[in-house]
Amino acid sequence: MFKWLRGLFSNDLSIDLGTANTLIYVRDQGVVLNEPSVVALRELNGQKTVEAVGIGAWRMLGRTPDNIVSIRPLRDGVIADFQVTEKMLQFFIAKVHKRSFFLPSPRVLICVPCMSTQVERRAIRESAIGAGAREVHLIEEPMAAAIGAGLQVDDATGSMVVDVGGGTTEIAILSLNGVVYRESIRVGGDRFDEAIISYVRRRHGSLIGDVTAERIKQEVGCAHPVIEQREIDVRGRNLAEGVPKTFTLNSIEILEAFQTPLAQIKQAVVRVLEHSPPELASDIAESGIVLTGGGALLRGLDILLAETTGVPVVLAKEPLTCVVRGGGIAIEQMDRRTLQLLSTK
Amino acid sequence: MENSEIPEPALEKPGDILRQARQELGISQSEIAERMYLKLSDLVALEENRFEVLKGGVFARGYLIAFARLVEVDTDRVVSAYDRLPSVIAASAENQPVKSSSIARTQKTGAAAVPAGIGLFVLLLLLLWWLQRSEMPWSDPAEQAPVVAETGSMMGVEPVVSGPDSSESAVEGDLETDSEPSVAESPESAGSSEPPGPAESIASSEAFESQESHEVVESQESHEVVEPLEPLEPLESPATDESMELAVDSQQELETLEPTPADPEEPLPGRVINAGSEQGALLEFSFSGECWAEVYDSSNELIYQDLHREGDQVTVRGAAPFTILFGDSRYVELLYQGNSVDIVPRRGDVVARMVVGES
Repeated sequence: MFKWLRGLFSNDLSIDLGTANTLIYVRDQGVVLNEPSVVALRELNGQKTVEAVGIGAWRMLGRTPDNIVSIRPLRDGVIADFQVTEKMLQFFIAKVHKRSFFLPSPRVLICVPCMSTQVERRAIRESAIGAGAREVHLIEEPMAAAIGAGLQVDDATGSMVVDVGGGTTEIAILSLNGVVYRESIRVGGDRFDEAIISYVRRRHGSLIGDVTAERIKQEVGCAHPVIEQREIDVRGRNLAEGVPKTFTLNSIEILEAFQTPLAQIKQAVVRVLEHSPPELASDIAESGIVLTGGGALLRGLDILLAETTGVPVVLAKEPLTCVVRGGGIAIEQMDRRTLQLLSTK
Repeated sequence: MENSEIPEPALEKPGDILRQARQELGISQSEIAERMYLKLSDLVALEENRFEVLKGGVFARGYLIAFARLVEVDTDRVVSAYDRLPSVIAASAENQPVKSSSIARTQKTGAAAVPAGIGLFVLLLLLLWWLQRSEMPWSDPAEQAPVVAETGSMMGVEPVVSGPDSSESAVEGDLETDSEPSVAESPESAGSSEPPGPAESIASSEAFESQESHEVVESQESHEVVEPLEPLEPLESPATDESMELAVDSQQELETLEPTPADPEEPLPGRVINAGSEQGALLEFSFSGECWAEVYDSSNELIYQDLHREGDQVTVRGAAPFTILFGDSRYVELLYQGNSVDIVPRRGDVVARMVVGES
């Protein structure tokens, strides 16, 4: 009853509950929130309280005292800490309803990894309900990404989407508003960060944190050698001397560090193409593959995948928000009942 | 047209930019198509700005970026040129979820009006409920009914009664306790406006006493003055004792001063009444029960009459002989000039008529 009343004063939301970032699309307003999926918890007398959420908590990563722990409640695209995820969602939903007098109770469409299990989907659903949502619908991330990228998913032609997220890479072949074949690997932006940290420790004997690794990836990271080479100065703690030390990293080094996760992505894409029906494979070969997700911003990834598959690979416009925008379009189509692709399992 | 502000790329279209760059580099179309994994026809369409033959805007944009990289052209320049095309603007406006759905916007506008209306309605209901709750003691007929009934029966004296009765409702709020006395006072003040009636009658009776006229007519007039107190008589509630005592006292005072006929139902103690003239023979009556008495003087003029009760003592002076009538001679003792007189009733009756003081 009260959720219904509160729902009258709430906006429909599409949420891309990602491992790295959480994006929220508000109906008729667009993408209004893009913050790291990080929660800082303060522990006092055995009681944990939320200290900061989102960008505030992200700044605390690796810089917290003993009684504050900054954690990422999602790992590999699914919920790793149920309660913290619920708190984070509650904070974000309230944040996009700043002007609301009542506690918001919106209808929510959440994008979930296509290969997530029923238990993982149920955890996401329960978490959203616990955060105040009155209705929760789920949509597979590749479908939302395709809609957000502008693909004609309702046509009788095959389309292929590669969504490189923070925790997972979702690959799917779509046709007639449905997923024909899908694959999800637990390789994404986080794995690239880990690769950089590991490489720096191995080659430069220094330790760097997640935030520094993310900055390195964004500034000099690349997936193909033909891309313009860049350099960056990095400060880390030298393992031998125990003191901070500055060293330089270039794009070739980062490319070398990325070889393992890039190989996993390439293999997954080829695997999907191998499993695609011949007609759809023909359509894909003619039109190409669409890259979405924050990981798609890695320079040269499209060239790498095009070389690997022999198929044109194009980068979607604003790839970081493709999934959440696609969810927003799906919400509007849901009311018009023209979209039968929402998974409510 | 839109490029009139920038002279150099005034007529530039993405296909033209890329074709020019490719020709400057001396690269053939087939070579570019091979490196882009595209069909030659699609590449030609790109250079001729026929993007509609390609499968959607996302692919056209991607092909242009890849083409620009190959021919070493700034990708942003090509993309911005592509975004400025009228067909692309229209397509993006149609595809944008925020701006696309005029239907959704209309629905949302309607959907925003409905919650606002419902919210106002709910707030109105809450306000009405609150007001009703705060005014409940006044609007509740169950509580109001006794007040009305007593008002009707008490003839303005009811505030004395309704005060204690409404004390329970007065607990519910200051508003009630504040406003209730104002309502209760209005009849009370009306009741308090009545005492001038008895006061006037007392004053007139005192004036009557000072004149010592002892005329029955005047005593009857004073009796009429007391009549406004009669509505008080039905009072049985203890709550009206004060007003009742006031009325009775004034009436007692009156009756001790003048020989007005008493109310037969009035439980008054024995009265002492002096009547008649100042001089003349003296008659003294002592009543032990209810009895009617009439006294006529020598001129056969009625100088005293009244209904008496037990304990009444009456003294009448006048010119003898007196003709006396007693309604019930059993309850009367008669003294004439201090001497007891035997009362002999008529045969078979209690009524006695006699003549006293004959020489």
